[in-house]
Amino acid sequence: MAAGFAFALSEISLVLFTTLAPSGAVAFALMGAPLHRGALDAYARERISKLLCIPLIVTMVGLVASATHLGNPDNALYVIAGIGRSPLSTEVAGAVVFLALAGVFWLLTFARRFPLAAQRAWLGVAQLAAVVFVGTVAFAYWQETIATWHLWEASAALCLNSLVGGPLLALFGLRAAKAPVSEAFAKGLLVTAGVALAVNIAVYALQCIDLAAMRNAMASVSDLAPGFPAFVAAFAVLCAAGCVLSARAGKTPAVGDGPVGRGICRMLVMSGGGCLMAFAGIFLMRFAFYATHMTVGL
Amino acid sequence: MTQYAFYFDSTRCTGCRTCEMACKDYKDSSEGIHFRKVYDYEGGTCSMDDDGQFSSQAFVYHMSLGCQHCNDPACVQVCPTGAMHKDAETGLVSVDEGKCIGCGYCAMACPYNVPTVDRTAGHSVKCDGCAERVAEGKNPICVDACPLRALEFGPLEDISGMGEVADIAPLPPAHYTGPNLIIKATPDAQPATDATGIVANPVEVM
Ligand code: SF4
Ligand code: SF4
Ligand code: SF4
Repeated sequence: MAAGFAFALSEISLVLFTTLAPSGAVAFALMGAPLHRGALDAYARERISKLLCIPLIVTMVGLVASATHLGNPDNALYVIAGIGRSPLSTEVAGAVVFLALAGVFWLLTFARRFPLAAQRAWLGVAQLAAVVFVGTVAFAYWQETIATWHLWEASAALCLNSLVGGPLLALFGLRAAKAPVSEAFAKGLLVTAGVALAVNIAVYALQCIDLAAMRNAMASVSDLAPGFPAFVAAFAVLCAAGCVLSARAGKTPAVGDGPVGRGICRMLVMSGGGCLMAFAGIFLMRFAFYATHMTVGL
Repeated sequence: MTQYAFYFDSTRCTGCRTCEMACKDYKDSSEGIHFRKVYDYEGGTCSMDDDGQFSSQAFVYHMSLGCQHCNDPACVQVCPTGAMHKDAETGLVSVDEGKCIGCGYCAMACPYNVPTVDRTAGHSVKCDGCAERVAEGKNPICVDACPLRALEFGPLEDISGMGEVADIAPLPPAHYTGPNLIIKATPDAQPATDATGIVANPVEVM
């Protein structure tokens, strides 16, 4: 097996974390967006709020996965010591702040009294924390001595990944909540995912060109991660299929559509399947990212 | 602070690995983990002229590496817990096992392939410059073990006149981390930016 693939396999929990958590955070921010609208009735508001647990769970699964790669989680509190110096500490802080704000918001929506203005303000801050968190993940490995990761394309690609997976997951959540969001909003989410995918593929193409010339005394990137362009092709196909599947799932149901019927089941299966395909594509590229790990020296 | 440094005479080293084995024995490191590693750097070509005579531009030399206890250590910079730290008195870089979470970022960031996460122990391990021996006024074990006297250790001011700051292949250019490794280079030595050679024993050192 290529040395890079073996390295990526040993870091597979980080591959999973960086696949799920950024998309989960963006999905939370997007799915919460309709809650800022005045026209939403209380019942719809409640359903969306409750099902914000979907992107939250996706983010949490990623975070738990990342913790399993630690040798000694007992010392995790010391991570605070590195905030501002170590980009990894900054990332952990970003994750904790986002999950605390988003998690408490979700819990408070069960409270009998949570005034609308307060809800909106809290949600707004949590949405902002989601964006900041994605930024901290994108720059978690921004380190000059790791030549292959110290590329703008690597950080841009992670952000774009979250703009492909996030909108699809948000749409799935809104559909599951039978949220009466406008068709324009649903289309907007799909267009965001599609445009982000196109830009993401272009960024990966540029990254391929940069990586092709890179080597150190131990190996070249093509030894470490052979077939990087094939990974990009598989990513493009899987994510495009995910977008198409989600787009063809049908119109988002509205309240009076009655109990969960076969039509809605089909929609959720297609929409969920679309998310899974996009996540599979993103997972492949995150695997390829770890496989390219190479320092400026040995 | 007295910054300590290693000296490596690349004109003497035969690549015998005695330093590596002495370190492994003394530090009792886990299976597959070496705090000191010897790299074989090879490259160049042989060519035949019109008379059928061969001439060689091939080169091979060895590089024995523990930690460089760098001035600007990448491992310390990225460590989220502060477990990887540079001693204020000696400038030696080591891991505080009571703080390390075993995330492996130090291993990813060090351009000298020095720290490793010992999965059984659950934390990062690396060359600590035999700090406890240095405190007793002794040399590190690897230095005393070298049969060719190719390794020395001491305060940087005593060592620095013996050669140049490490800037030859297969090492990274010195400006990245400021290594406290002084090298007397063999005539075969290539610059750190060399792209003609390759580490010939990657399986052994990775
Ligand atoms: S050689 Fe590597 S481990 Fe040692 S101080 Fe420098 S960066 Fe850190
Ligand atoms: S493995 Fe330990 S010493 Fe290395 S960066 Fe992580 S916490 Fe720091
Ligand atoms: S100084 Fe000590 S720990 Fe470091 S390589 Fe030498 S013997 Fe091993």
